Parts: sequence; C-alpha cells; structure tokens
Amino acid sequence: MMKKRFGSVSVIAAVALAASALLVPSAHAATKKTIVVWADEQRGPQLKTLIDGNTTIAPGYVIQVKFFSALTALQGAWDKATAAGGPDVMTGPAGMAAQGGKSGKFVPLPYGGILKSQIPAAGISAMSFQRKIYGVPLDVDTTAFIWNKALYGASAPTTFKAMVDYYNANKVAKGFTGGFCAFEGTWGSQPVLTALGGGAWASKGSNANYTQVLLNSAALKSNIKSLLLGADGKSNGFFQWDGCGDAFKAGKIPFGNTGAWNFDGITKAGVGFGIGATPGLVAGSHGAQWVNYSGAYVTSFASTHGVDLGAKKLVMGWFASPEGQTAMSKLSGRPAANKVAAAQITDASTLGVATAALTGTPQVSPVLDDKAGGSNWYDVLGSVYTDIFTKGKDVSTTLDAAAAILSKNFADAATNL
Amino acid sequence: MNRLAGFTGLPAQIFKISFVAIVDAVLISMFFASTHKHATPLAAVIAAVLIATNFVYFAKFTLPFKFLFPGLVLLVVFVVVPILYTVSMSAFNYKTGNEISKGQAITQLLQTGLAPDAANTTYDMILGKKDGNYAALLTDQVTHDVFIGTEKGTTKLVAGQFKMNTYGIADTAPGFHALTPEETAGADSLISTLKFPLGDGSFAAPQSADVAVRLTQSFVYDKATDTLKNVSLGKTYKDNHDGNYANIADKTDKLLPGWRAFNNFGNYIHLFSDSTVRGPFIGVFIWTVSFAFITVVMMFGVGFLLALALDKKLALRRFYRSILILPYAIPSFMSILIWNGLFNRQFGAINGLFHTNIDWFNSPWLAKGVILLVNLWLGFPYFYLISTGALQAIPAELEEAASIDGAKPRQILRLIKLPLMLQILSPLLISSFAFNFNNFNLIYLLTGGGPTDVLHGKTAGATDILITYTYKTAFGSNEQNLGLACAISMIMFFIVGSLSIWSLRRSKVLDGF
Repeated sequence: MMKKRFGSVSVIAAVALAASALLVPSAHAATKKTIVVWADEQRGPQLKTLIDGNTTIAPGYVIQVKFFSALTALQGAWDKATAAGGPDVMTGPAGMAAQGGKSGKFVPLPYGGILKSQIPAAGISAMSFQRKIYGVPLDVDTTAFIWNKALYGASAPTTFKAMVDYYNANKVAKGFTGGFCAFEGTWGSQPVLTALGGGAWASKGSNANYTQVLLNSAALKSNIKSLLLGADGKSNGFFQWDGCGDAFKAGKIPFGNTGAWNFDGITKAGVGFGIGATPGLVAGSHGAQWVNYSGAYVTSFASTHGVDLGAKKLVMGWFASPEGQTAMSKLSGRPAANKVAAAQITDASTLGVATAALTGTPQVSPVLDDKAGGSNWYDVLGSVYTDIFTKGKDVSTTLDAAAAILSKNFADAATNL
Repeated sequence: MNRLAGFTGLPAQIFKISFVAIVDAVLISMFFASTHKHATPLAAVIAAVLIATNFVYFAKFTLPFKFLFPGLVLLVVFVVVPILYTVSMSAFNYKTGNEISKGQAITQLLQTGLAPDAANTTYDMILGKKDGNYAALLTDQVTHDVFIGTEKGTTKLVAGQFKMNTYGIADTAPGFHALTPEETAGADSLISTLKFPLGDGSFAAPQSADVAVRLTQSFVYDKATDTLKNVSLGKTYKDNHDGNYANIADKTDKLLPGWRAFNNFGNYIHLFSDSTVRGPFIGVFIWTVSFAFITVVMMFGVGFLLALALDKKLALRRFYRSILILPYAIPSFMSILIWNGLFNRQFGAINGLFHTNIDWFNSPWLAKGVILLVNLWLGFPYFYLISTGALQAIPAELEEAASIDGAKPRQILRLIKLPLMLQILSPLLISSFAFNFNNFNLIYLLTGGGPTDVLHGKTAGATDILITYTYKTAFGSNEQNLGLACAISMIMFFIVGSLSIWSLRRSKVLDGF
C-alpha cells in the first residue's frame, strides 16, 4: 500500500515537472527578440550605459550588452563562439574584420551612399577583406606623441635629434632610464621607425606599395646608428619599448607615444604632458603612427538567432551614425570614426589624438598579421629590437633579415586584400 | 532493503523526489535554453541525461548505479566528451577560414557574392504586405523616387499614388499595409531573405527593418552539381573535398569562407610532411621530454636529499620542515610571476643583487635554465614531503640488519633505501613527469615560450613545450589551426599515456590491483 502511494507520488511529481517545463518555452516566446552585443572592458561599460536594454534603436528588439574583462578575454570567447552562444553584434579591433570575413562569422555589410560619405576611406579599408566590407568603424584607435612638460618644457621638441640631445645631456643628472617610451610596444613604436626614415611599406600617393619594405631602408639603418646607438654600437638607452610606461609616469623618461586610454593614468601620476606628433629628422617633419579603427560587426549567428535585421539596424543605424559615435566618443575619449561625429569633438585630449591621427599610417591588419615568411610584423619587429638594442647585433644584417621575412608576408597578404 | 544508513521510508522518498525534481528542473531549463539557441547536439545530450537520471533514481533494480551515476555523468561530460571531441576534430580541416558548416559557408558565399551598384543606391524602406504578400515601399535616398516592391517585381510610383511622412519617406500607398516593428522583428528570418527585383537583374534587399540597398548577385549555386558559379567573372568553383570551393581551372583559387571538412589523417600527415611545421615540432618535442625528465629528476633529487637530511634528529627540525614547504603553499602562478620579475634584465632583483646585466629571457639556454630552476623551486617541497613519508614507511629493521651485516650508510642508501623509495614513489614520479610534460602555466607565465629566433626563421620558442606550442597553433594568432592543434594534442596524449603505462608496468606497482 505504502509502495503504491510512493509510486503515485513519483508519477505526480514527474507530471508536475513536465508541466512546469512547458512554461519555459512560453516564457522564452513572450520576451522580445534580443540582440546580444559583445564588447571588451574598454567599450563595454560605455555601451552598457548607452544602449543596454534599449528598445527604440531597433524597434521590436531589445539590446543586451555583455562585456568581458579584457580584450584578450573577448577575443578568446569570440574564437570559441558558435551560433549556440555567440553574439549577434561584435565590437573589437579592425583586425577582426579579416578574420571574421575569412571564417564566415561576420556577414558583409553593403554601405548606403550617405553612410559611405561619412566614413573615411581608411576606415572602410580597415573593415574590408577581399573587397567586401564586414563592419563599421567605431572610433579611431591610434597613439600620439607626448612629452613631459615639467622636464622638457611647454613646447614640443622640433626634431628627433633634439630629443636625443636632451636625453644625453640630462641622462645622469635627472636619472633618466630612457628617452622615448613606446608604451604599446612594437605597435606603438611605429612613429619612431617612420620618423627615422623606415616603416613597414612604402606608399605610392595614397596607395600602399606592399612590394617595397621600408624596414631595411638605408635611411633607417643610418639613423638608428647615429641616434639610437652609442659609439660602441650598443643602445644608448634612448629608445624603450618594453614595459616602460611606469618610468614615464615616474618622470624617468621625458618623451613617449601612447593612446588616449593611458592619458588618465599619466595625469593621475602627476605628470603634465603635451600632445602632438612625433618629431622627424628635420623641423616640421613627423613620424607616422599606426591609425587603426575599432569596429562593430554583424555576426552570421544573428541570422540563426532570427535577429539579422535588428542587428544590422543597430550596427548601421546607431554604431555607424554620428549620434551613436558622438555619444561613444564623449564617454571613451577616443576620436569618432564617422566624419560628422569627429567634427563635433570638443575635448582637448580627444582632439589632440584626432589631430595626431591625421599624420598616421592606416594599419592594414591582414598585411601586418600575415606570417607567410614565418612570423608576423609584430614578432619580427620585437626580434629586431631585441637583437639591435639588447644584444647589440649589427643593424644592417638584422634589418635585412627582417625585411626578407616581411617581403614574403606582404606579398602573400596583398593577394587577399 | 533499500536502506541507506537508516534513512528510509517517507522522508527518504520525499528527499529522493525533491532531489530528482531539482535536477530535472535544472536539466529541463538547460534543454530549452539549448533548443532556443539551436544547439541540437547539446540538447540531445541533456535530454539523454534527463531520461537516464529519472530511470536510475526511480527504477528499483539500479541501486549501485544510483551512487555511481553522478560521477559517471561528470566523467563523461568533462573527460570522455572532450577527448572524443579532440579525437574527432583532429581528423578535420578546422582552422581560420574553415570553421562553419558547409551549408553556412554556401549561405555566406552567396552573401559575399552580393555586390552593390556603383552609386551605392540605398532606399528608405517601409515593410508591409500587399495582397497578403510581403512588400516594401522604397524611397531612394538620393533621387527620392518611390517604388513599391514585391517578390514578383518593383513598380515606380508617381505622385498621388503614395503619401510621404514628415521625414520625406513614402509610408502609405493604396493596398499597402505597413508592418508594426514587432511584426517585422517576428518575421526577421524571412524578411532578411526577401528580394524585390528591379528589372535589370539587380534587386532591392532589406538590410535592416527600414533600409534596403540595390544589389546584384554574382554567385549562383547549383545544388545538382554542387558548384558555385561567379556569373560576372565566368568562373566555376567545385567542392575540393578539403573544405573549400576551388576554381576548376585553378585549384589554388579557393573561395572563403570554407567549411570544417573531414580530412582523415590530413593533419597528422601535414604535421610530419610540412617542413615548416615538422621542424619546430621535433625541436619542441625534444625539449618537452628533456624538460619533463630533468625537472622530475631534479625535484626528486633535492626533495629526497632534504628528506634524508631532516630524517635525522636536528635542532629546529620542525622549523626547517615548515620553511621547506612554503614554496608549495604559495599559489604557483604567483610564484612564477614573481620569479619572472626577479629575472627581469632591467628591473630584476637577480641582476641587481649581482650587479650584472644578464638578459635571462633572451638567451635560449639561460631561459631554459631559469625554467628548470623556477620549476625546481615550485616542485621540490612536494617531493620532500612524499620522500619524508616514504622514508618513514621503510622498516627500520632493514637498515639495522644491513648495518649488522657491515653495510656502510652510503651502501644502505644506494642499495636499500633508494630502490625501495623508487618502488614506492614510481607512480608519483610518473604522474609528475606527465604533469610537467603539460606544464602550461610555468612556460606561459615565465617565458611565454620564448625566446624565438624569428629572424632566423624559427616559429617556435626555445622554451616552448608541446602544450604551449599547441596553444600557439590553436589560439596564438589571428590564423588559428584547431585541427592541427588537436592532432598535436592526440600525439601528446599517446606519448604521455604510453610512457605512463610502460613505467607503471616496469615498476609493477599495479600488480596488486
């Protein structure tokens, strides 16, 4: 009798559970269609403030912003993302455009005429892979030359040599541990290379010439020897590229190159700094830093989730728009990519970076990331710096070896652009 | 019958039903969440676990299984499934550009084959229905011409046939009923596939709920022959059975994206036949075995010697014993990062202490030395502890008998204690070897696998071990090769597994099982 009653209870419990389970799909059905946006820790909080829960940007949908603790965490999650848990809209560096286009995780976005006129050509180029546009540029991701005003003075140095001379003259007295800090490592060192007559590739007018590698140019070889090395052929300590940010903040390095994301920290460290373009070999000439863009992309998962139109509306109608980019720029301090929004910048720091960006070189990620020669641009450059400035190896031999690898990379990448 | 520590009757039954109810509720919720996300395989697994859970806990003849079941489920989900997945993925061309399914790839290729016209003609669009079919009122953003489009064709409307809203967008026309935003969102999947033919081969396609652009389809897919034709260039692309459509006239001309395609032993063949992959792999393999072996010998040696030393009665013995296990008590990743700082060329305490300027991490041999040293620091307390325990487990009579027979202390150590210790500790030495064979944290946090002699064509770092090399292959750059990484993982699995079985058999420690 007892066992029979227990059996009945079990059956009733199971039936009740099955009935309760039916409530789950109906609960799902009752909610609005959700567009899930993924972002890193830099843009995520701003997006959370601006659009999380919004139902008016893409009427009929609700926007949900999920942000990660770091860009690496975002990229790690994106690498593993599938339709099951992946986002509908992705934000991240321009380099993702080529990766997403190649893998089929991003869908191409045909620009309308008005939008195309508002986005700079370099921005569209940064979002492209095999002549298709896979995203909209959100903001300009670049660096600017900065100098410690308390150390060097209110006016920027006019030439690269002026910086080196100042460093050499004050190195001992002021306890400098370096003269110029590229905060962002090899990426941030680009204006130094270009200021000294080198760089990645040459340009023909406004077009990049990937067949001509500039890293082993005669000018760069000569200028490294005369400005960055001592008489003994070893580094004079002026150029620093590895973990030198704290030394700049401590007043131990007078010049540097970094982006808006570091300005707050430098100010909080009590360093008053000026913003400009890296001085070149002669007065009035400048080094050219990489100018990249962050983008917003519609994933192919959006179609699987049934929110393709809504995701495109969000990306093309808000992320790309002057209104959306102005709102983002105000919170992030990064210059907007949309030309109409960029014209509305009033903040001095943001304006400084935006002005510096005008002297920059478009960062073409598929070319820089290519490793047909064995290793990509960044790894090659890291080895070059280590060999020349740490190990004291011969400048010409080192740069020629690097250029041989890069020429293979660039030639391979150019076929996919 | 069916008693568990006196917990029987109605309370036990209520407990069981409540427990299963909670598990069922969680699983059912997960099931619907999975189906909602279109994760069919995952939903199937969850459904199987749900059915099995109820069967095991409500059937009367499954008593032993009631205890084993949770452990078995976790074993299958977290051990067996990942291994099977790795095995299966090692047989696929699974890399950047070959990640999605073939069906998805075709959809994407057809999308990439959509080309806007030279003027980037864009229309403000009001979606609706006409005669029961989807239709759109299209207002050209530049010319302000108005069209009504259906899937059959598009007709230009003249003044009087439509009304414009305050934004200058046509929103009303006879027989046209606009959709609400909710209706549009509800039919998103269908609307995003609509095409409103413009009469010249091009069509207006919705790009969001209120914008359409003029596009031309340059790719045509022929299902019967499984070919894609680029009608504007006259090229035909066929499945190359390696995850891409390739030009039939030039097989190196492949379309992207491709798909995750079964390639049998292709990744393994690639690993051993492609010199750019094979070269680094062999070098990394030799260092991995050397690193794991040397590190275990060093850790055991130091741990054993310390255990011997502290086996004697010493003043402050307890203090020494406490001090010696401190490195073991600190989280290893913290210790590794601290050591990384100590060996920094510019700011590190090691160079500061000795007034040197040694670049520890940029010389292959120095970096390897640093790794062995730091790993010794991290690992010797473990071997010290287990050696101490093992020494105490050796019967004192053996040592006494040997002494009486005239054996010297060194002979007792070499001929009695050490062989017995090795017999006792064999499984731990083997597991330590296996652990260090895959010691990702140490390498990744201390040297990052470097230094890498990039300028001489090296692609693997001097201190990379197989697991870090695999990680770099899989996730280290924008170009990922997950299939190849899975193949390397399988080789590692077989190496570690084979060595473990061989060593365990030689040590005969499993004879008693």
